[in-house]
Amino acid sequence: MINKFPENMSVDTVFDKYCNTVYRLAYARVGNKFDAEDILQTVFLKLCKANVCFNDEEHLKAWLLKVTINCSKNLLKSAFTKLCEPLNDTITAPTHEVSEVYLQVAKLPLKYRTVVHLHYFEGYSCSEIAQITASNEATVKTRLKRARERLQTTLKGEI
Amino acid sequence: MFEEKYRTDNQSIVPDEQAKRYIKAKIIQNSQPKRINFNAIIAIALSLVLALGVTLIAKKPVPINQYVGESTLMENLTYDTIYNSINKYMQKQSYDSFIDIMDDGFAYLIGGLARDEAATGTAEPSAGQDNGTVNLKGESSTTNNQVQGVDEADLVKNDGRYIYSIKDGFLVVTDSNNGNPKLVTKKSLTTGGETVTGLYVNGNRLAVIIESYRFSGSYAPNVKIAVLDITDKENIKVIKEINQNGYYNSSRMIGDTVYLLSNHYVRDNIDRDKAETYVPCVDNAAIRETDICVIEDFESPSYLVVSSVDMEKGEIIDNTAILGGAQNVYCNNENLFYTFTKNEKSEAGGKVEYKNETTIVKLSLKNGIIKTEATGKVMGMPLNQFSMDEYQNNLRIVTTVDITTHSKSSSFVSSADSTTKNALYVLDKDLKQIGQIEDLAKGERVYSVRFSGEVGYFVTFKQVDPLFTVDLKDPADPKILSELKIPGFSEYLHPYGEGRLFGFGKSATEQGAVTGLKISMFDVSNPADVSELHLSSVPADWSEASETHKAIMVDAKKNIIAFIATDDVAKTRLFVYGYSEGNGFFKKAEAKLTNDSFYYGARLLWINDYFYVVTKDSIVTFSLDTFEKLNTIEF
Repeated sequence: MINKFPENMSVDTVFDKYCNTVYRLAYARVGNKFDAEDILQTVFLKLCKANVCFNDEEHLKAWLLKVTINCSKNLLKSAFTKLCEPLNDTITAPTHEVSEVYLQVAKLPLKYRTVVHLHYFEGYSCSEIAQITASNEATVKTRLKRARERLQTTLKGEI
Repeated sequence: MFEEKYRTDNQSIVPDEQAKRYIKAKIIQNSQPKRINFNAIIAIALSLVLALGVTLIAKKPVPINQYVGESTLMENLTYDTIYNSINKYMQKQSYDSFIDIMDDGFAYLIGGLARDEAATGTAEPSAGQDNGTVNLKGESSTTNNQVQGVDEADLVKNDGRYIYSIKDGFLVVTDSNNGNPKLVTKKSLTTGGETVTGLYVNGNRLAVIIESYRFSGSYAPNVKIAVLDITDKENIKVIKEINQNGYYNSSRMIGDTVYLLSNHYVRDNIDRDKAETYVPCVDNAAIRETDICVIEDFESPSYLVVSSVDMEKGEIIDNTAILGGAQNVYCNNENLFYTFTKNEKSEAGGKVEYKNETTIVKLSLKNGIIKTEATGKVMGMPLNQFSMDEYQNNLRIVTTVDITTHSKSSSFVSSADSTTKNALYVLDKDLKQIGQIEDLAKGERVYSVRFSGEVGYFVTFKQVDPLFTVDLKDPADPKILSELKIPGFSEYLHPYGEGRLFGFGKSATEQGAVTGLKISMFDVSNPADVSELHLSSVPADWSEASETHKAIMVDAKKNIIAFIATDDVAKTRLFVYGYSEGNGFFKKAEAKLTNDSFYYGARLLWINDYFYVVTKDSIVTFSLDTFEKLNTIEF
């Protein structure tokens, strides 16, 4: 069997290396640990089944982030999620300890917080984000700009 | 500044270690095509389906293969053949990751689920049997058992005068004292890491079921039954303790014999020379090879262990272990049936199809001697113990069949590929299928089942609640007599006097959105034309009675329907209803207990003219006649 992963990698090393990356993006998008864990599992199962050969690690990482976005999109779009009350982390498990900055980002609309996460945390450029989120580079730029504007009003002086 | 903080915040956002290990194990299993555990995939797929929850959309029925294979029972084994079976299995599967998950408490979950399910479904097959046992001391209610004469363990028991309950590992004995309860004694029964799951009382003996999940180097689940002499209430003595090294599944008491059932998972470090590494132990001794059976195509290397214990002497009468796993347990006075469900994969015309099948195992129980009698297989999965009933040597079982199909090329399953249907099977004394009704209520699931002699009732639900009535007079040809559709569903059914069936459940809108609790009374006097005579919505949203039949009291003779329920502002109340033919349900009481807190594990009982609400911290008494609140005692 051909190893679809970049050299010296296997599914468990990929998981160890990228599970936090996937989880963080999922968490930034869905905002609770239960859905984020679900997405984490789905993304890596898709990786196992995927019929792709990765050129390098960058390719693999971008693929994982793209699939994470799609999986969380499916979840957020589903009728079930729309009809149900969101799960509240704090009821059953201690939530992750974060500062005001994270909380304010979490309050941004989904499309804004996705680009904020990819840009400020993952360090992707606008053109790379455009590829990952399957949108136009100009759109990404606008979103990032608007997100910054909103954060400037809520987080005075931080940005 | 922003960037830095956002980065720091994100550093702390990581999945739980436990979730990580669990997901990793799943992924590793899935990345090895030759060792795929199809069960795990389907479990994930189904859980995803549930998570995505697109079950609201109607699905196309999928043609399925009706053939269900037989399962063979291997008996008269030696330790060597048992070892070989397990070893063969382990070579086949990547078992390590499975057991890793077990250690992370997954097994506890499974054990817990099976146990909860077992607990979920009991009540008597005919009306007003709760008031069965008449004690020398007085008339009193018993646990809401499924089958008359077969007692089920519960957190609270009474013997007509004394009330036995559990508070944080202590046994609490209270003298009911005609509505003015007095604490007699408190006795510690547990050490660290142990919890008490159930009690049985029988004359001057009390049996206590204690579970522990101790971690001592390796993971060592244990369940023990302690037999206590309660002749002198002030000085209760432990006579004997019997240990099984597994997860508690269920138990029953028939006459003076208690049957204790546990699930034992074989670990991966098995050793041919040490039987205890692949055979379950009772009191630290491996079960004899002659007492072990193997179901040939077992799905997981786990045993069901059954021990019968004489209550008077506190001694083991017999032990049996069956390799193959166990979930739901139904037990009547002669036989015990248990089930385990697995997913079967089949491939046809470029399509891969998974559907669940249930293996049923029949054990006979005669004066404590346990004998494996037969095994059989049906499609689908039973809901709980009420899904099964034996009548005139035939077993009837109602199941929900989950079917998932997808094309071979895309192995990822979307919710649109899954559907359900429901079925009823009749099996003869050797568990050979003799009659069936299949393909019922496609896209829905069974929510409750009750059999009453020649008639069976079951409720399925997606948007509206059809109550099916089945004629089982001719076991080879069961017939649907009627199908009543009403909004909402019943989660528990209980015959209520002549021609009436009581249902406890949830109300729902026409679109299927659940709105709150409801109680219904069905007219079943003409099985061909069942109707809902009366219904009443309960001003509350959640009750433990939805989860276990032991939390509800349904007593047609006394005309009492009682349960505790909590509303959305966390206000907990005791609700007592009566029923009259003319006016339907009427409220006898809606009472606040000691405080507004959530009473998980609270039980209701009556002794002579008084009604008692027993929680782990208190007993509140009411007059059985007027339901006036009388006394409260807190421990």
